[in-house]
Amino acid sequence: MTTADLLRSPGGLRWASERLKSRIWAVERAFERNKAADHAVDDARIRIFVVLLFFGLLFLTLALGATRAALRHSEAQGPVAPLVSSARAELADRHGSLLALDLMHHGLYIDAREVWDGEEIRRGLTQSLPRLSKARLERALKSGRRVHLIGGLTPQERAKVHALGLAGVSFEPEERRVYPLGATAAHLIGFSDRGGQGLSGAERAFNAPLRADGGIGGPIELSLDLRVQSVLEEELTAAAADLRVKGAVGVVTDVHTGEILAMASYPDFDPNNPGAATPEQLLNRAAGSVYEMGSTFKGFTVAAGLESGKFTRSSTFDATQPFRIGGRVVRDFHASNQVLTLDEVFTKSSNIGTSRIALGVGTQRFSQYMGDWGLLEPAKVELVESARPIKPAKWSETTLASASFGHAISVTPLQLTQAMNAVVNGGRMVPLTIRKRGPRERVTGRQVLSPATSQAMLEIMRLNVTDGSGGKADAPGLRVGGKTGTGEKVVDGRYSDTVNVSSFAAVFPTDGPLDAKRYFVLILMDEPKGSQASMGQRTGGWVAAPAAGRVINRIAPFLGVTRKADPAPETTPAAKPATGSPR
Amino acid sequence: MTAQPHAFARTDRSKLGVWWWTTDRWLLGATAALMFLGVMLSFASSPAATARIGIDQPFHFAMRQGFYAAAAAVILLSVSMLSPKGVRRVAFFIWIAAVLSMMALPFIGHAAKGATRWIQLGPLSLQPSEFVKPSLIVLVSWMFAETQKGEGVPGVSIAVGLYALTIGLLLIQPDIGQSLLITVAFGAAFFMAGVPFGWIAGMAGLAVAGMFGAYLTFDHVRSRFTRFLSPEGSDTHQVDRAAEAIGAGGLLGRGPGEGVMKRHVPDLHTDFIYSVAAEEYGLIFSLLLISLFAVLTLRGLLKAMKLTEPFEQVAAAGLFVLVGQQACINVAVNLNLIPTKGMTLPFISYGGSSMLAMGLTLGMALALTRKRPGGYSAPRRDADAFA
Repeated sequence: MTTADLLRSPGGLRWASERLKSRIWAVERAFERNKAADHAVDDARIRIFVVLLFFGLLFLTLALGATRAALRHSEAQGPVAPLVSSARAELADRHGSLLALDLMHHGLYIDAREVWDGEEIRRGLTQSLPRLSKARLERALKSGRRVHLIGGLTPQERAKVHALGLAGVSFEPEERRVYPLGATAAHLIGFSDRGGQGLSGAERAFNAPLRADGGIGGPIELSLDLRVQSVLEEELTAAAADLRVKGAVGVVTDVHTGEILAMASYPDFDPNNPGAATPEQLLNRAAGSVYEMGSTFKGFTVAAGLESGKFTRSSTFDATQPFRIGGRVVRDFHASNQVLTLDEVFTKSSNIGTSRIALGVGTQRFSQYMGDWGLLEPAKVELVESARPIKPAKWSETTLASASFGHAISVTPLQLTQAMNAVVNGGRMVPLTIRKRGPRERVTGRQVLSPATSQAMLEIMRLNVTDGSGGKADAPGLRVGGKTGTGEKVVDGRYSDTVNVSSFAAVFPTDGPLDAKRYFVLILMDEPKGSQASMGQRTGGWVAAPAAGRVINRIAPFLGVTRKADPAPETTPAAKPATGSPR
Repeated sequence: MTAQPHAFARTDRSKLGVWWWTTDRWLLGATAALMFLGVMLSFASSPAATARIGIDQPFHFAMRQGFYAAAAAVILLSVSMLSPKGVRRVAFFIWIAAVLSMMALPFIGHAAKGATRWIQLGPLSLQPSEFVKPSLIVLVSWMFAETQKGEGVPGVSIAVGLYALTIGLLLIQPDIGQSLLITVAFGAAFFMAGVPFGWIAGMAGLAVAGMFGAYLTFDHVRSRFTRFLSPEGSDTHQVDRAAEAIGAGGLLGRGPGEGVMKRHVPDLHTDFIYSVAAEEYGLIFSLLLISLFAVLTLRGLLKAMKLTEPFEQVAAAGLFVLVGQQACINVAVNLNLIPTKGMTLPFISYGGSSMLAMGLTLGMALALTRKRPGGYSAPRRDADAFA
């Protein structure tokens, strides 16, 4: 008989209940007996004491656990230094205005598990952070863990979101490089990546000192003068827009120290968001683009002529006939059909005249001057953008003639600037710099021109403004001198007379002793179209000189150049370039 | 007598006077301190909780906690004045009432967080399972003692029956946490009452089987175990936040009201109040909190140990085990020493039922451990001689 069968029958049921009853009583009695037996281990006091000991150990464990939890974490609480610091020192202009600095920004994180009200988060975040992607937010809300939603929140943005008091939304600090001036001097300042490595401009040039000591060093002062820079940018942009140029360059330097006071490249970009800029915008045309400068180069040819001792300012050149050399015929743009003095070769921008000068100086000597003046190697400046020139493979007479009026050799605007500084500063080759020079810092430079030649060049350049093609660059009382240039660009293998690089290289003031304060201004327009203001012209005298004049007029007060009464015009207005096309 | 050093003179024979002179000061003091800290902490956590739920009055929870504490104090006082017999009587009626309401829960209770545990009584929502714990412990201790008298009362069977009925009702809700607490306290009471050593192994086997059964039956039990054992890749959000808060508190804490974690995670004014306290008041305070519970539990067990009557011994010890284990489990969860278990910290966590039931628990425990003639006469063997 199985137990189941037993349970089914009434007798079996009774048997089972009896069996259960007896079992129960057996248990009860066993329990009772155990107590009555009065063994020490069964004594309630000892049993309770065991429980007491157990709880004692338990509480001790908890106290130790609490201590560990509290102290282990509090150690890690101090300021946590990132493994690789991305901190960078500040950049400032020569007067201390901040150009670039690290600012604490915040990354916004969302933890879906902490979110109480998804709708509230959607409403709050999209309202206070319009740039937030809705799709990303939805993904984050569905992710079920803590995810990074958006980075680079400004303190204001963070405060706005923080004030909403959204559960599940948290912030984490992140360093971010900020350029408070936006696009101002963007190419000079440059920018750095998220990891704190400088990528361009001063940020790249001074990467090591900026990062030294975790960026805690004082700001690095650049040679930049923000006042000059903003004037330059404003005038350059206005002219560039008017002339619908492909690009434009403006540079202002102190000719004695080589300091770049302002440098602009058009179009520009916002270093706070370099990712949004096109390569055209990012390109620093002043340092990184090479141009056949055209007639601006005639300054060098004339200087070479004087320096060589082969010519004086009163030497004459026959420009009545086109000049044949090798297989080439050199013509003047506006043929004067007359014999020109050296001064006139410059002011009338005679290609025939400069070709004759260059040939007179000689191939070897001429190319040596080019080398001495830094025109055959990248400009000496901290910027890594500084590009190599494109120079003739060999100096034949033909290339010599071409080079004399700025063809056959392509240089960067900074190379031109550097060489021009030497021409007008008394003849010393001073490397350019974007770093502010100390007040007692002695600027040394190789003497590459005699002071006499330099003096003569100042006078000749002044003449070009008063009597020659650069008239539109004059500024009242500032004794501006300069040289226009219109390089023809090569289109489909030949020089085009409509696609130009038009420039004006100016120096002011041209009077006073050689070591007097003196500044160089370069304005260059790449492929200008004619406009109403330029009377439809594209040449340097029409498109670059006016901008240079306006810049000089406005920056002179900042640079401490005082105005003097201009002498009464000795020449008739007819001699001014208003009548003809300055070249 | 010019100055009266005490509220009650030794000669005061009034009910309150007698109570004052017979109740253990350490236990009373620790209880009062815990109640005070509970109300104080609720002032820190209440504004964060009310702001989320959308209650205008920021101290809504704090004021309610204060009210609960006062009510619990009244219950504690009146219950602790009872005689051991009165305690048994109260336990019996409360157990009946609690079990009846637990039976009625599926029909009249209201559900929250996936379980039906609450009964709405006017403005209060009461959780009968909180009250069933102390009353059951007192009843089973009584039954154990009756069996041992050898007067033919099948006490063990009755005790097991009471326990099984209670647990059954809890598992229906389902409330694994309370089942666990009751099981441990029941086992402890059984053990202290004098279970033969031979049985202990069998009982431990049953407990393990029960736990494994719960693991298999209830999804949330399984997930919590898995989470504890392999924190990677699973949601350990609450305990992570708790660890973060405790760490942030350090030695001295962020300062009262300065805690930030309480704003982030739900339930922090109840189950994770320890972490909130540790963040704001630091390690010193958490150690004080742990010490108070230690004093309460250990001193209580010590007093229970010295009692004469087997029923009083076991019931009092069982009640202190109940308080002690709940405190230990809560703190251990907060410190991530054991898997997450929703369990309140006695007197400290926000909650009416928990607070009132704790008042009842300690009221009964104090009543049983009060000094009375014969209550503490030294070795029991001698006392037996008089019986």
